[in-house]
Amino acid sequence: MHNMILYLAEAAPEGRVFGLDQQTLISMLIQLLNGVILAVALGFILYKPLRNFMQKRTDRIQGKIDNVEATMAKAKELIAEYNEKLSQIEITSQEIIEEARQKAAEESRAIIESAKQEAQEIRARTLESIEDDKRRLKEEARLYIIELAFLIAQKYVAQNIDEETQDRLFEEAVTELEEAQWQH
Amino acid sequence: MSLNVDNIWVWNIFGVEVWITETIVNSWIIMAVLIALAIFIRIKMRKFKEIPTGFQNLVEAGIEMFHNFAKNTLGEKLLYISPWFFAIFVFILSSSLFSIFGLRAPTADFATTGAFAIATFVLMIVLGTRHKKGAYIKSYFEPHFIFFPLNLIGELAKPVSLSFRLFGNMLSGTIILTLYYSLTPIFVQIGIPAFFHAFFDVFFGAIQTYIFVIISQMYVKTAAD
Amino acid sequence: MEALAKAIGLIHIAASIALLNGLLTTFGQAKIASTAIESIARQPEAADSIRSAMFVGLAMAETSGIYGLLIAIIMLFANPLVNQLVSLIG
Repeated sequence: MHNMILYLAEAAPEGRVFGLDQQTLISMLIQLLNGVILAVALGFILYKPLRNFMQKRTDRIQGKIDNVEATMAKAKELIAEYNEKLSQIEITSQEIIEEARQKAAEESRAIIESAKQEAQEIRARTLESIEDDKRRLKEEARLYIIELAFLIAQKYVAQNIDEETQDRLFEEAVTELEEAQWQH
Repeated sequence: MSLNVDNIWVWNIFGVEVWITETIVNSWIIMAVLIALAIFIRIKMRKFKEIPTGFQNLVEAGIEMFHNFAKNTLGEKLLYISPWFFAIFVFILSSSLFSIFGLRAPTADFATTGAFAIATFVLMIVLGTRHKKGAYIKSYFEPHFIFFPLNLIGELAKPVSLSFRLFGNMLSGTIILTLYYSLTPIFVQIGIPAFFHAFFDVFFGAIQTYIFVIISQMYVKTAAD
Repeated sequence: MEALAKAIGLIHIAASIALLNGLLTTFGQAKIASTAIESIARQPEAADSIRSAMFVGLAMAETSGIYGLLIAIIMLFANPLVNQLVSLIG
């Protein structure tokens, strides 16, 4: 500054301890300016960047802690889920066993039923075949008796009557025989 | 070491006589050292790691301590002016520490303490009107209109007591040390003054710094909250 | 010159009288400190808040002592009435 003249005035003393005048006011202003400059410099160089640095680190660590907590919560959820699944599986297995037992019972019942039916059928068939046999035997017996009777009659009649009468008699006998009731 | 604040230069700026006193020059020295230290820490900060060790630990502990201190007294809402308090805290503390090396403490001059007290007063008014709006102006007229002069004097007494507390304490330390240095023979001036320095500069300096900053913060908080 | 010397002597005596209020200030501060120490002894876990409250209280109690110091310093180093005093004595 060109207009800043360096000189030692007559009025300016060597120094002093304390005074309340214009010079103190000027010094105060200069010191205020110094303080503001220092505050701005320290604030921008040191305080804010360091605070930001530490704040960021705090946030990061907080984030990590939150993350871990979230993972923990998720793990707990999973454990609960699996526990539920396990209990469900138990229930299901019981159900399956029950079902199987039921099915087996049903099947056995069906088998017994079918066996019974078969037995019934077999019995019915046997009865039928017995009936058939009976009827056949009856038929055979009738035919055999007829033949026998005829034979006897022939032997008896051959000496007495002619052919014509013989035929008529035979017819009569047959009809009679046919109408007769068979006893078992 | 003399009691006086020496006038080192006398400048004439636009016809106004300006005395560049020892206080101002010492402040510049302290400011230069502090800013250099800040730049040094800033350069070191690039290599700062996630887990602090050694030097980083020291710096972080200091910043964290001041931050918590400011948060407890100022509150979360006014925390944006904490750099100013950080700067005056560091300045007052280091000015009393620098007086160990024979530099006359800038805080042992009313110009410095008065300037900081005026700054506190300005902060009170500005932040009070900014955060409380009309309620701050109204607080001067509580509980009745005629109490205005009383309230005004009460408010004005705050920066006066604030500045004179620091000034008186620092000046008393300086006076006692000056008396010791000027009254004792030379052979007891080695070693023994270290205790005086430890007491008046380090201990009182630290306590008065703490008190100055905490009371400034409380005044600002009462005005703004 | 003799008048100035007398004035300076008077001013020093006045300053020492102004600083006498330090007696009461110190007494009050001692009371604050002793109460704070009692509180800390009773509740060691609240030591931090008690300590900060104690410092603030100490600073507040110091105010009157500081005003005395202010008056003494003004009388010693920036006395506006020193010329009148000298002319009155001389």
